[in-house]
Amino acid sequence: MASLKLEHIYKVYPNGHKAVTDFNMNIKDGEFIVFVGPSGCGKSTTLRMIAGLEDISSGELYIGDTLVNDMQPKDRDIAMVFQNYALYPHMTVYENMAFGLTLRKVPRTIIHEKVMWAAEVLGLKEYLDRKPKAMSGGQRQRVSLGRAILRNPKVMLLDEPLSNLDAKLRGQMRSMISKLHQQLKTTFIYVTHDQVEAMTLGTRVVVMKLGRIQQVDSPQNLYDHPINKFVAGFIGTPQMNFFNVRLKDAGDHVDVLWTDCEQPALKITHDSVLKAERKYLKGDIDITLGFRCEAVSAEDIKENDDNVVDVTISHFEELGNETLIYGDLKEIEGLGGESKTAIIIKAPSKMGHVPGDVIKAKIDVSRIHLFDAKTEMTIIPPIPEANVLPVSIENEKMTLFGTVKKPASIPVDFVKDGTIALPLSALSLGDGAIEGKVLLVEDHGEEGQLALLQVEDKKIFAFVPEGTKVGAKVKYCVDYSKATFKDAEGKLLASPLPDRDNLTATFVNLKTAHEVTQDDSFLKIQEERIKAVEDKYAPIFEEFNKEKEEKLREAGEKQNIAMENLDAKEAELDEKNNALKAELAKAKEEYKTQMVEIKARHKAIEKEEIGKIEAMYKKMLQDENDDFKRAMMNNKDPESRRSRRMSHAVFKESFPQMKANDLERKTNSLEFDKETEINGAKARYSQKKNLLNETIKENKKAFMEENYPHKLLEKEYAAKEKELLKKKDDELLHAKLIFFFKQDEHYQMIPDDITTKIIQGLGNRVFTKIFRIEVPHDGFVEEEGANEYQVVANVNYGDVEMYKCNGVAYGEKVTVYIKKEREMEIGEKIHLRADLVKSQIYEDELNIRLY
Amino acid sequence: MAEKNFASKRFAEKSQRVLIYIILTVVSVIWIFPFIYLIFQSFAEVANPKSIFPERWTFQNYLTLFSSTSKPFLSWWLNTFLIALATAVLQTILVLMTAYSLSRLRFSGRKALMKLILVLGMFPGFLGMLVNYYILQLLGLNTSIFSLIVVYVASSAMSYYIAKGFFDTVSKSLDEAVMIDGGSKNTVFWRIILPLSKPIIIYTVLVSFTAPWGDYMFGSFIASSSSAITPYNYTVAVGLSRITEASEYGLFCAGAVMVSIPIAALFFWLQRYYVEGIAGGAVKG
Repeated sequence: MASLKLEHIYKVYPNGHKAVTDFNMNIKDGEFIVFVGPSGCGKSTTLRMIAGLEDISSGELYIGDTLVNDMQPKDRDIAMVFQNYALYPHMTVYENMAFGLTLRKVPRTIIHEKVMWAAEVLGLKEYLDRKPKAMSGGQRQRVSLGRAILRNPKVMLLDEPLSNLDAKLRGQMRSMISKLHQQLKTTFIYVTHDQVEAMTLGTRVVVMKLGRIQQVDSPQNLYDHPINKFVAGFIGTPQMNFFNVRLKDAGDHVDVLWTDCEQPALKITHDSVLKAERKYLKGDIDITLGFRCEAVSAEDIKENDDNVVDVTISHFEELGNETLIYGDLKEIEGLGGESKTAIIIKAPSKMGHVPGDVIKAKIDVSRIHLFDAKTEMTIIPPIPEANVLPVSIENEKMTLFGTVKKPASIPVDFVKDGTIALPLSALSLGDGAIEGKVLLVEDHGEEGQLALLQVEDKKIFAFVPEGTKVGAKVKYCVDYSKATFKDAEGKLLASPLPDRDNLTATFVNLKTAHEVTQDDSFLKIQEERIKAVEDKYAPIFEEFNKEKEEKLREAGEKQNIAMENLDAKEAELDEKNNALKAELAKAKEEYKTQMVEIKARHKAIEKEEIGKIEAMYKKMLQDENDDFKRAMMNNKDPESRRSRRMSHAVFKESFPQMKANDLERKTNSLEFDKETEINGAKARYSQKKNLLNETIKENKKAFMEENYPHKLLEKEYAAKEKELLKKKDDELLHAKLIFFFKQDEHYQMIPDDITTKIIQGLGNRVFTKIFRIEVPHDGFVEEEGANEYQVVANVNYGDVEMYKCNGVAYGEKVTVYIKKEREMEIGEKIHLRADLVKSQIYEDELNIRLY
Repeated sequence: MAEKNFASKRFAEKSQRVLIYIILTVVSVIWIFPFIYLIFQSFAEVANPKSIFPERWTFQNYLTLFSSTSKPFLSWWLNTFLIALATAVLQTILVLMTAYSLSRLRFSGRKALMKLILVLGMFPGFLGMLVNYYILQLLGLNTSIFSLIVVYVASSAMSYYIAKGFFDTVSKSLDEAVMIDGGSKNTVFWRIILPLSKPIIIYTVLVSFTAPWGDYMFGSFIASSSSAITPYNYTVAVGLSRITEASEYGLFCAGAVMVSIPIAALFFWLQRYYVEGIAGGAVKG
């Protein structure tokens, strides 16, 4: 049982195809996660990367707290169930399930216990001696599940396990898997393309498309709040109804205007689109309206109800307990195949309608979804990106939250009735300029508590500390450098300052850096690191040697005492083991006789059964021939004579095949019985054999432990020492490896963990690539010898103050903004390096984020 | 009308079958005739290649074959058997391992290597006979007939493609299941793939046994090139050719019959495994 962490996981194939792009996710212990998406969306690839069957191109995968990128599948402590079961065909069910534990050298008795337990849980007890080919698909998949749960893995991976089963079995297996998860409380990751499985099984569902995560949420939230049109359309059957519409602010409400048909506009409240950007309400942006078939009703519609449309019925789909009405908001032309105005309505029955009828349908506007037609993203995100508010600036005064002096660096001097888009990240908790009263709090789990606040005369969204109550007052600092200003016509006046600056760098090793700079301090760093490792290990080894000497001396004494009486003990051991060997030989003998007996018995049975069939067919042929002869003699009617002759001919034609088929069926079933019995006998014998052999080995081991403790301990310590040395060597190797980012002429050492990530992502291509380092404003450190910059301006954004600095790198001008840490003068020359830990590192050619 | 149609269809089918059987009979007679001829000749007291049935029947040829000291057939037979057996074992292991790695591992140059092997395989083996012999001489191996094993085994991995084709049909998820269960590639090969590959193992064993068993070229080349190789060290093919040189036709025929026995036995014994589709049930099929 373990949690999983996937950080910026990429899968790029050698041909450049990106199967998975920037996969980020935290999976908690005991969760049931389902990856779902159309084929080719990267869900299986992701699962196989978790399993270790596929290399991770870039990014990091943690199982528990361990980085497992470079671990073999067998060391990851996972189990996997395959779509095609992947059972070992030459082994019985028992052997199939036990195989994994056998490879791990688990004692027989424990294996037996576990196999029995798994067989009990999955209802496989009576099939243990069968081979996979003698089982049905459902049974095989149960064996495969048994093989997986038996090992009690940290994570269970299931790759479309039910796709090869028929519908009824799939339902049964689904509930079985669900129960299994409840019982085992292990982390399950389940891949499927079937959204029903995803919705019924998952505690959280990951919807993927083209290698990217679309949405991660609980099944209910996916259904109720899809983040984009793809998720909305993918989840739920029948598919969501989609229409092209536009939104227009109509004063006390918002109109939803149909683009492709003449229907009365739907009326929605302002509150329902509070999180939407204002630009959507102007009536000039195409929007996709979506609602599910159960959000429309065709019953109990009153004369003057709002939100009613006319639907022309095209056909029905009756599902027994309910009926789907397929229709169109326009008149249907032809078969109405690709209509943009097609609608599906869920109704309890046909309600006496026939295709062609025009009925009234009422749309429940509280359950509609609105998506941007171009980006396909919802326009009402759960967490809005920005607060868009009216703003006016005049005479160095800004009217936003009341009228205040305009922060000096806002590059807008005059605007009337313009807008400001203030992202949520621009509002940080702190003793700043604005104070808001909490009107509403929403819990967004890991992302935090989102609140609607009343600030002066405006309503804004912002994050509040956990536990904030409605009515409380919260203060914020506002970072106007992140704001976008537009005038009344929507023309862009000022775009936000990028919140990170870009630096370019290449990756070099110590040797190159030293050769170019002749800076011996680099070598000194390396020496220090090596010395640190040596210093760390010196006392460890000292301790180890002391312990070893002590223990060996003790063992030596013990061994000397034991030596005195060795012959008697040896004889005792031989006696014990010889008895076991005799038992083994007896078991073998028994097994052989049993086999002979089984074979003989089955041969007799087969002979008898086949004799029976032969006799039966012989009689059948005789009867038919007699009957035919009689009929020919007695019957003079030509019509019936002819029909009798024909039926006789047909009989003769089909008789040999019939007989052969029957014989084959019988032999097959007999063969099957025989094989099962033989497998059982074999398995019992091999179990006994293994057990006896193990006991013999254990006896020998116990003998050695008792009489040669010194010898054994010596071996043990040698192994320990080797391990310790290896650990030290590894650390020494790491200490020796130092890499630098070369920015123009400046060499900056890269912290070890970042180096690891970069090399993980690119392998030996690191030296040929150019890296982009994105440094946040507070991610610069002044350091002697680093690249030179000149302070050119003081930047004041109200609660946030920065300095604008210019520098030159690779012959090009570089502008960076640094957070004000100390007073600087304009024109001052400073030396800056990036704090890599705070920065993000990208490789643009492959377009991957490395850190 | 219907009855008539039915009857005529039956007649057509029947006559078609009769025709097929006639053709098959003729073909099999042609095919088996040389062998029958050989057996009859081996029992002839006086060899007469022009008549099928010998005038007088005798076992003498067989007795001479096993008692003659100048033509020690039994040692030839044993030599050949040992050479063929060793070759078969080594070659089977090599071929299967090569085939498995080419089927499962993805390494750079894999495709190029496969193509190269295919092209190299198109050259007849005796093109390199002189060089082979020269190398054997350099290694000091030209004095023993058993160095044939080295020659036969050396290029054996080149005939990997049939086994590879078979391995390609075994589902890869079996490999993956083993890897997750805690095995290595070795475990996969020895404990999963090999038990599943009985048909292909048997095919490989048969092929790699029959080739050295019947090979004359290399055998005679080595046998005649060194004085260290006495008639006791011949292989059957070389020995039989020496018999024909001495124009003892009946003896030759008896030897040929004895040579064909192990091969025939091998085929009769192993052919039933050929058809055993053991891979059934591995994956959904």
